[in-house]
Amino acid sequence: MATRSSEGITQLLQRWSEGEEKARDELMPLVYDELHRLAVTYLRRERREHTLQPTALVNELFLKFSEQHSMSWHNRAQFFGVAAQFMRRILVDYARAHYASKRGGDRYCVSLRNIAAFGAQPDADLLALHDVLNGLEQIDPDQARIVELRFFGGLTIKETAEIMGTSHATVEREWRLAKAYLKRELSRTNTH
Amino acid sequence: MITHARWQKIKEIFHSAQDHTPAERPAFLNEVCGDDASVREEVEALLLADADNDDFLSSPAYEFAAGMLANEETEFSAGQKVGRFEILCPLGTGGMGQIYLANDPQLGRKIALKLISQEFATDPRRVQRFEQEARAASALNHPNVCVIHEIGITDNGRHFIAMEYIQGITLRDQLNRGTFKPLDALHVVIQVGAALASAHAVGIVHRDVKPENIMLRPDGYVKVVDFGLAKLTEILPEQRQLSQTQTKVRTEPRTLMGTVKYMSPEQLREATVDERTDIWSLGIVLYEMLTGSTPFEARSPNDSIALILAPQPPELQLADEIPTQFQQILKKAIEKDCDQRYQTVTKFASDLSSLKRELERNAEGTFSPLPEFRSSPVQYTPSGEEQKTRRVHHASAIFTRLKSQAVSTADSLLTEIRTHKAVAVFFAATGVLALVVMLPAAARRIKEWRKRNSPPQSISMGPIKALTNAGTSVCSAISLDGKWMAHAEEENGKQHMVLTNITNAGTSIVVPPADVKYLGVTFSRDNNYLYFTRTENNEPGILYRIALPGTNLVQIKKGVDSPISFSPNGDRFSFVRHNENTTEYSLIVSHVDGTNEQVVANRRNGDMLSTYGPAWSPDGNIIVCPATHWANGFHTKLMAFDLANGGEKAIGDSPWFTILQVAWQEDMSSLVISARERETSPHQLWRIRFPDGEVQRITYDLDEYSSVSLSGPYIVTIQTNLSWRIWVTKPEEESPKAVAIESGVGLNYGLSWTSTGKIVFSSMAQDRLSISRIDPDGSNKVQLTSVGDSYTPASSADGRYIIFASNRNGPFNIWRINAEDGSDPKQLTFSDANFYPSCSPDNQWVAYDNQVNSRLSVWKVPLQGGEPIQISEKYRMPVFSPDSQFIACRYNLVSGTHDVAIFSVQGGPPLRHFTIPVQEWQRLQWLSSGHELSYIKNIDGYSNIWSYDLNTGLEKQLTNFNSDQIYAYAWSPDYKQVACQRGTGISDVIMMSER
Repeated sequence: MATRSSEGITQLLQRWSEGEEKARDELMPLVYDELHRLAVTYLRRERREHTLQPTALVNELFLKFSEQHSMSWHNRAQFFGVAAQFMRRILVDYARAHYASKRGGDRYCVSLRNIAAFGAQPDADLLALHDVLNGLEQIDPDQARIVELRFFGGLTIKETAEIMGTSHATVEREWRLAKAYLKRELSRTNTH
Repeated sequence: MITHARWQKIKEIFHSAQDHTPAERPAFLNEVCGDDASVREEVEALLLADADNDDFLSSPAYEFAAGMLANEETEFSAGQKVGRFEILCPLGTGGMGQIYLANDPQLGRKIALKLISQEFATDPRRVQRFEQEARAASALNHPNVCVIHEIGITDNGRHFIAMEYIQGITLRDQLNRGTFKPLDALHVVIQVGAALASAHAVGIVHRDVKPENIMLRPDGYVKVVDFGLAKLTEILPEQRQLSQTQTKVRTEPRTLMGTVKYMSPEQLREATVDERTDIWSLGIVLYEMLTGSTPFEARSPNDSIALILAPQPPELQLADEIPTQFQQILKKAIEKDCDQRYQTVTKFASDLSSLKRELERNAEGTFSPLPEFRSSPVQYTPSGEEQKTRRVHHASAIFTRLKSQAVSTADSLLTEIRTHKAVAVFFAATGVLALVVMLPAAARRIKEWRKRNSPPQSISMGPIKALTNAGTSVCSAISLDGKWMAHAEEENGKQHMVLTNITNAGTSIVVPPADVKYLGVTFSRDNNYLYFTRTENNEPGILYRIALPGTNLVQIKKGVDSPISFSPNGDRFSFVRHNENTTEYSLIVSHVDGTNEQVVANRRNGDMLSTYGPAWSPDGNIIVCPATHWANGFHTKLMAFDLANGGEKAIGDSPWFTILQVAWQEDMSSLVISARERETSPHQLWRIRFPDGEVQRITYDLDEYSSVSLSGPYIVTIQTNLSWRIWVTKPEEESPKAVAIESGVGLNYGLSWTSTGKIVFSSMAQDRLSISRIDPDGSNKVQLTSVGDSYTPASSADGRYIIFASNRNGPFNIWRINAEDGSDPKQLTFSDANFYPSCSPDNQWVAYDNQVNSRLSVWKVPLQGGEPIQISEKYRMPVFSPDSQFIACRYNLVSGTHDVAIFSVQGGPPLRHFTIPVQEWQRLQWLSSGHELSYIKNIDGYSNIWSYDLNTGLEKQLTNFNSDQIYAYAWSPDYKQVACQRGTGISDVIMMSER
């Protein structure tokens, strides 16, 4: 990621978190590059050995930003929250584009055959997950945030708890229910 | 939609349920849900989903979707960029990923870009092994090996291999259309064998030889792809155990049926394999080409594996017409015990080559219109035993090369045209070219296939017959009746004339060895006399006659500088004369006794007539002779001179660089010429339809064809092929050892050693002369140019730039590129015919010579670009002294001299002028002392580097080679090592026929 872009990302993330929607559109492609690089690094080197810590993604982003700039994100939690949200956004957008290009824009749910095979088609599955996560957000925003931080942000339970300002046990509990909910919703989608 | 309140209730119950064992839960739920069935249903569903839900969302999204993210680029479309490469179109999907035709803007060439699928790149150990192997393979330089330009990782993390783009079809495609005839199969397999041999020589085993990895190009080249890439898919040693072979192969998802069938027993069984596994696989491929199936066909891969691993030999089901010898060779190639198999692919290929020659000989009877035309004068034996007849020279004879053939390139060719009196000028070019990659008739067939735009049903070869095998033929001719062939041959620096009876293979020396140079030989039309021209002591050419079958030499005429061509009734002949004093070339007609000269045409002021001679038309009305002219570069046209009205007219409008010899078909429907399309393409044979000039190519290879004579359907010509290696040696050591770091075939010219320790050289890559750099240990080869032809590289003193002559935008000019990666090309001169750049040690100037209009001059231009300044006239090949104050040049007033001049960088008259026995077409180099020059000297047909002390006049031999020519050399920055481009050219008379 070029320094110039990183500078932009920091500022844009700030603006975006302050509600400037336009910043998001500018941010997307920049963060995506980094995300893509990390995904590739992960695939190339780390899949089997699991040497990459689950937090690596956002942590790396965080470290990058703080190294390269006088970090205006004094609140680490705030940064992670925004970053995880962003990861979700970007991955979903990406999956949507990817899916459409592959299948000519068919409804993605048709490809979800079996929840046991979740992940077999990451693009479709990600989109389906995003949909049901939206549902969860409606009924339990905190749980949805936990999913965002854990799954999209790649944070551990402990880190998530820190950022949420809550206990480890609570996050563990809520995460468990959220997963059960999402899984059930996904299999529902699938059978329809 | 669940309401918030409801969700809170569900949540509460769910969490509480966690505190109960599954067995307790129904009771617990009864208790807390009461009659709220829908809440209970929800909670039960969630608990059900929760069971065994640990893996769900257990890895972060970017890992979860990493495949999607990373693999996005597998579906590229035109115009997209992958790293620096611009995708042009997809070429297909290979075993390891997708392949695209892409543009490499850095080097401005089209490449095949193989993007390795992420699934293969997940294991770092594999990736490392693959990279090691691919890098090793990328150092291979062989016409039958697909060139790997670059291996790397794109910015977005994709492993890629940038390869030579091969236009053609795979052997698999061709096999899908049917089996091969034995000769055609041999034609392909021998080339594959040559490719494998070059790889095995440097320790690379292909591991995956199969029809999918063998490409057939329309021009007849066979190219082997994916050297070493099998490393990426093969089972790692630690993953396999002997007892589990079958299971392993069975479960290894990459091991597909298509590959298993070509795998050797040891490859299936053991972790490590050697070159013998490739021999096995090639044997299987050959068998399949003949029969249409492999010997281990089975219903499933596992059954095939069982058959391969079984101890008993396969049952070969070859058609009856396949010779027994063929079967024996095949059996030996697919011996299950690798110790019983061929031990080297070289031996395998040489047995196949012998067999092929045998088959060709047998095939000749089937087309020959001459009933007695059956035996070959050169008896090849499969074991390679030497012949007893005196014609056959021993291996050492191969090293004895014609001086005039030794080293030359386009520009030296021009120089020679300009300066070299009677020695057939165009002839000089014959020494520098390439290796036999395919036989012309086969190439022609493939061309026809290309014309039809569909692959041939089978590649069928026209027979080629070698009439000599000493490798040192100079010029040749066949008699009109097709019964005799005369050729001059060189041995130990002397040339002699041999007459061969094509019918019974008998030969006799008609003119004994002498210190002469033969320019050409011609039979009289009644076949009773042999006429030949030769130079003696660098005097103008002399025409002699021998009454056959005698040996009595009669001098007919002086001042004949080309072979002669007779009028239809044989009462007159025509020839070319070069007057060195006036630099005029004349086409002259004379009575057969040498009297009554009559000039038909003239060329002067740098324009020339081919000293390979004219061709008098069978109807007697015109004489055809190649004539050169300067017009935005050097060009040659095939001119028809009308004897009745004195007019002249070009036949056709094809632009040739040079045309050597020309011969008429007796029915006047066409002519056959040997000609170069460009400066650096080899002289090939072409048929020119008369009178419209339509061109049809006869040969398709990197070989050089010089003499041309015709008899009915037969063409007799001299085929020259050349191979070279770059050697690095330390001359000052006690017993200096030379190490070969790079090898190749085809044209090569120029070597430089940068101050940053890189060796820079020019060689044929594809069909262009390109500049590459390589480390002195043979690693890190990078091709730096790909546009146009580039050669005679020099490096700037600071090591930043490579300076060279290139025709990348038309005429030859001096260019500069970055030494590291070939980037940032800068044109330093803007005229024509600029060659031999040399950079001053103070890094300020580039000196070079200019040969436009065949006039020599020396110039300098600032390294950073600017106005060129003329330093001198009549010199060429300037080189700066270590203090940048002096320039040493070759000096060419008269041909055949070895004069050297030294003068000030400021110009003015020469300060020193002396003679050293430097090899033709070679520049001098200064040694670090500042008072010594080094140069290439040829003794007994092979070259070494010598030094000449300007103070004492003493000469000293510096290198200790006892074979081969040196084509170029360069000193290391500390002058302790020297890199030499050395090789041999082999010239033999061959006879071919077009069907």
